[in-house]
Amino acid sequence: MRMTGAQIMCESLVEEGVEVIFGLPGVPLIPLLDTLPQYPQIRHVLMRHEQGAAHAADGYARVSGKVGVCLATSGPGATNLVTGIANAYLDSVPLVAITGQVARPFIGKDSFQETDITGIVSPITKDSFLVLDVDSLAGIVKESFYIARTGQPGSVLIDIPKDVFTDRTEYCYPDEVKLPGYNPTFEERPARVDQAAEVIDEAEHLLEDAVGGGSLLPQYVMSKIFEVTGGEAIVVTGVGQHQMWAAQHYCYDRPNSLISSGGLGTMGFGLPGSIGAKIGCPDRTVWCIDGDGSFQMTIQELATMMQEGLAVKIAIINNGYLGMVRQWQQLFYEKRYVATPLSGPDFVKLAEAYGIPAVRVKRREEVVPAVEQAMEEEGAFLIDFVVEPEENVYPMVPPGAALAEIMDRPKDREVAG
Amino acid sequence: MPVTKHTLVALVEDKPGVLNRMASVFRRRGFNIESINVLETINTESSELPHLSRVAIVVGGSTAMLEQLRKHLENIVDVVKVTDITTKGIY
Repeated sequence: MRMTGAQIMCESLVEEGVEVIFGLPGVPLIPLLDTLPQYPQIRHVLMRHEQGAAHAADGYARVSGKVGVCLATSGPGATNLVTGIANAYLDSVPLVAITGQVARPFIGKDSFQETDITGIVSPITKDSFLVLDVDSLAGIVKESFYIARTGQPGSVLIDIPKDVFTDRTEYCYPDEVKLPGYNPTFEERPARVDQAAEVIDEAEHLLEDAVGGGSLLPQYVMSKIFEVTGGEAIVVTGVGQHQMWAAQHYCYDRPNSLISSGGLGTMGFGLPGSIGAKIGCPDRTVWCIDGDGSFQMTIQELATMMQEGLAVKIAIINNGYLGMVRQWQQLFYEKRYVATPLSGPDFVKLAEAYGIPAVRVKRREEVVPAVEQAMEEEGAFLIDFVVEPEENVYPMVPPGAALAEIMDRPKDREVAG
Repeated sequence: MPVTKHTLVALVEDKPGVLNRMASVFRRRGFNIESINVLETINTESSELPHLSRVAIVVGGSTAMLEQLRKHLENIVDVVKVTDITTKGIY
């Protein structure tokens, strides 16, 4: 059957079982977007920045086990995806990024909104494709999804010129891929997982109890979120001190429940990542635990949450610093806090501006009621936890030291009970 | 580790972008390619099999580092096989 490139793209996505695309439009994508309503099985989630689109697709993939798909236009749309593509690549998350490109006659001429995106992402993708002929489109989509999800999963990019979307050809989705150079390993290695579990079980318990006095400690907040949610939530984090505390003080016993940027360490992953996680697992409670610095990097995605009506619960661990860097400055640069003190907006008022109910918590006794209120709320909820500004993450590995030289909290700095 | 000249021979799919990906493996680790030669192979067995090219690269480095690079090159989707022929000879 003869179809346009846009139709072939949609048919191919349906063949691959794609149910959701996280994207932002642009002129080269209009032919594709114009075709999407004919495929109601594919939901398009409009993000507010392409980085958010890639992170949302990433979070979706991690909780659902499916390939995440993001969509951006040529030029700045495509370059804005780069951080998210690198993030998925370094954490081996199956991600297919689709970018619109200028029409073929304008490629390679520094045309308006043209970038060599396949070249740009080459080191941060398993493979990338520039579709120069509508006849090759279905095969490239098939190969991209296959490469993204097999072996060590990772990101793949497909760049599609505007005029390829409008060209017509006979559509036939290929049954198999022909990749003679690609030999993904399919066998799992449960023995190694068992070995890792044994090492973890035997490890000395290094985590400290969150005691703390008059002041509100972030570790205490985490342990209470764990208690109130019964450990049933999916926790999505940003990057920084809060990420470490969320890993240490929320006890995870279900797989795919801690969604975090491990390899690239991308601040700003939390909010868009939690949007993807909620769409991937709508029946589970999703908590976005973020720092005030990390949160401000992709804060615009609150609008996406509002538009999509997503019941994500947000906990901001607000210490008024880019805390992880501040901790290093404190310990290794004699407390010279250069470029780390951080102002933020009134997060409660900001949430309310997006129609999201919110409270501020400053004292220990307010923590549990606030978390309970968040859980009782049907929709989204935000809590601004104003915590001890100079609390540190322990244990930590000092600069240049081996893992065996891991550092515990200094004895004279022990927090009193 | 003694730095010696190595010759890597790769069998790759004959597609745009493959050479770029291979060159990047050397570039990102600061290796300087001394010479590179690409030739299409002749497939006499079947027209169904994909078109392949043979890439010969001369580069300086320790044997251990070159072994890492060789494995990294083989991870590229369109690279079928890479052999360090420095001591072996081609055949």
